[in-house]
Amino acid sequence: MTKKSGLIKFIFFNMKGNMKKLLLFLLLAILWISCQDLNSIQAPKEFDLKNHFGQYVDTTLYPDKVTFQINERENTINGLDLCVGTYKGFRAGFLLKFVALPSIDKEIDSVSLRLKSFSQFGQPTGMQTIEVYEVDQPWKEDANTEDTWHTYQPQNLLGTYTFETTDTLTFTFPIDTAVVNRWRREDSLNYGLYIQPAGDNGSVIREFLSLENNDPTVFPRLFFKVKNDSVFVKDSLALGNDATIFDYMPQGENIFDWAKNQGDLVIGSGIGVHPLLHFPGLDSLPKNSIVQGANLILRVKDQNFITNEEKNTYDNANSSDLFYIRNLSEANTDLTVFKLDSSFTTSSNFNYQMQQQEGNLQLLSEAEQTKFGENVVQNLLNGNKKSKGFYLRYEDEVSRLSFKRLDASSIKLNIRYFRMDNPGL
Amino acid sequence: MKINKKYIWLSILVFTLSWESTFAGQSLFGISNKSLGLVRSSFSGTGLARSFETAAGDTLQINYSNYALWSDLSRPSYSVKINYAAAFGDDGVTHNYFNDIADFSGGYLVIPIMKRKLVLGMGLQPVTSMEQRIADSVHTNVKEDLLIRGGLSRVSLNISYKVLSNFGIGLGYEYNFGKILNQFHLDYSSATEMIPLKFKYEYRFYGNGLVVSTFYKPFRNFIVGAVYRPVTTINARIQAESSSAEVNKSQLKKISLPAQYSFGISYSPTDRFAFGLDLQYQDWQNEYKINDQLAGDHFQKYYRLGFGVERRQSKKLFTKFTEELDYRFGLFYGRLNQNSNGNPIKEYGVSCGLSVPIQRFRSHVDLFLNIGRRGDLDQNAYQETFINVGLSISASEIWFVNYED
Repeated sequence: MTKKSGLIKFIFFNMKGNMKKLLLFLLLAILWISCQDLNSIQAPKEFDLKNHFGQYVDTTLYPDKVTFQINERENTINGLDLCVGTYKGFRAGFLLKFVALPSIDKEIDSVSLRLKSFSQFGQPTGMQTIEVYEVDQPWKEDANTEDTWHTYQPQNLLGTYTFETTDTLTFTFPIDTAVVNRWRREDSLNYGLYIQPAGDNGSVIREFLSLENNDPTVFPRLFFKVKNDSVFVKDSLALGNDATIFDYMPQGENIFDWAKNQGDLVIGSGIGVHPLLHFPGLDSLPKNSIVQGANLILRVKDQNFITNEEKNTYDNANSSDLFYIRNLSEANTDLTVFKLDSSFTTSSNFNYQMQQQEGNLQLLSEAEQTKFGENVVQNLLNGNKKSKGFYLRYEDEVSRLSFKRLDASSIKLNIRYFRMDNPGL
Repeated sequence: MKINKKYIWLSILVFTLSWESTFAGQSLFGISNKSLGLVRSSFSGTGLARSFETAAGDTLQINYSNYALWSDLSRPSYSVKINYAAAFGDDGVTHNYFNDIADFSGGYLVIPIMKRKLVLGMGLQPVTSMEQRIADSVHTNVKEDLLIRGGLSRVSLNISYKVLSNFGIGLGYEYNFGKILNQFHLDYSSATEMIPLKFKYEYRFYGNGLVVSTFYKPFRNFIVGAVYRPVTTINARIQAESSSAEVNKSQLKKISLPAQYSFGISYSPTDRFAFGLDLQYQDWQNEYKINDQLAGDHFQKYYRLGFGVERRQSKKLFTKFTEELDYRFGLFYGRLNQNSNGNPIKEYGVSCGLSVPIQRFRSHVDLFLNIGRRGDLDQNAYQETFINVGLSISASEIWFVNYED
């Protein structure tokens, strides 16, 4: 060992080989042992674990104000279905336009429209008749939001077709070739087709698959024969725009008014019906709380509107059983004027998914409950967000009609949190 | 002097592991409300082997307890201590609790300014430690689980001066620091699939302290030593890490650490034999306060009484290997600084060890082994049989001498 060497050098570099190895082994063993996890023990008498920091609280809040808001002008731009028919005062028709038609220099023959059926809503009986019109004015896929299309009276009837209401197969209608040729000659005249129920069978609304589906093979498709080198060959196209127009024109009692008078809530799609809830207890939760999760629970009343018979015939079995909760950043006391917290548009952390499970609407999973608790209740306690109430909607409220009754007296907001009473020292 | 980078990295490693030693515990005991952990022995490896330290004079070995005795050192000296502790516990129901921990438990560097007269030294030493995971059901399908780990350490900067040939004093500034971590989560029964709620509290301690030490040799072979640390007030910065902004607000509390008294005597009937007695005392019951309030009635007066004997190596330059070793044996008895099940916790055991020279009269490895019993099921919630084994490495060198001249 040199005169100026230090202890470290002495230990690790100048020692005899075996001792050096032994010390290194000891060092590694110490590091390994130090990283061992501990099995838990029961809290000793001198350690009051239950009150060491505070209390775990599992509480339930009840709303002081419940109502629902109706939006008859949902934007059906992303609707997965194209609906046509009438059922218990509801009416649906749809606009459909194909673009990129074959050029006019090619002769076409026998144009037909194919629609693939998704399902149907209602209690189908007898025959259903639909009319196919040529549209004579421009429209966009958000046509359902415009009043014009709810009173639209098309003039040029291209055909009337009747089906068995129970028929759920693929439907193909011939389309006037002259009309299609006119569109080909003058593209600006191509406003597409409007397909609406004829008369009022009143028993069913048929749901065809729209251009918004993921699978192009199920799209509405225009078939035609194109003359190619003096031979007609089959061709088709499925490129275009579509929009369903939903209306509610009850001949008897309005189910929404009826439900409101009954004190029930309604959640609906097609015609958007959105429950609004206010929980006064949220504002009085202790600020020093760490929220583990929260669950909003509403009981679904599977009874019919107006008749109160078992089985709600307005509840569309084809509808998704998923729903969203939105937070209200602003609202007046009776929830007639409100503003949605738009955070959900930029982050999925503010999108809370509910599902109908065992007769209740509630948050889909424990993960959703945690997300809801942390991002709504915790943010409210932290002063990062306001929560003036909640707004519920179908996850897909633009594809098809469906209406559920909710028992307003059953609504509860379960919140689980840990109230921190002291810092533990 | 050109410094090899390897030394720097190794020094950093040793320092880091020494810091990590504050996150260590080795017992079922020490977990109570507002606990800072169990008091750790401030003995060197040799002290742990013979069970006394306060009056142990040595011209080579750094005394970890009584800094006044550093004035006997004639050369710059270093010492580091490595410790492994294991405890086999029993709570009357479960008989096979096992806790163990390994750490670097301190080290010192001492530099004589005036040979055997005035010595400057510094070091790092753990003061308290704990580590345990506790769990309890608090609600249907809900269980609280808390991991507690950490403790206090201190860095000392001390000057020792031999006023007379048989009397010396030491005065030291100490910086107390440490961290205790509480990691909490609520566990739910597997059926609920609920996501655990988690939060963390970190208590960071820091504050200045003072230590006064002395020794007196009324006879050539008799040493009396004493150490006094007055009540020390340190800060505890409390910081939570949770989803709650209110909870996360930082807090500051004043912590009063009890005064520490150490007293020891040693007697050497011959050059190679020494007997010693040691007593350490701290009143955690009446002096451990948080914001001027007593921390709780479950804290106790801590004491540790040790008695031991030492047979030192032969001073002959050439002798058989067994004569080159130091042999030590001791007994200790004490009371921990907090109660268990409402009663004081007694601790007693035997100690032994030996020093193996690496370079005779310059450097040695001190091995120590403590075996003992802690707690009693008739009085306490647990009882433990523990072993404490480790080593300290001590070396002295000549610095500041230019041999080439």
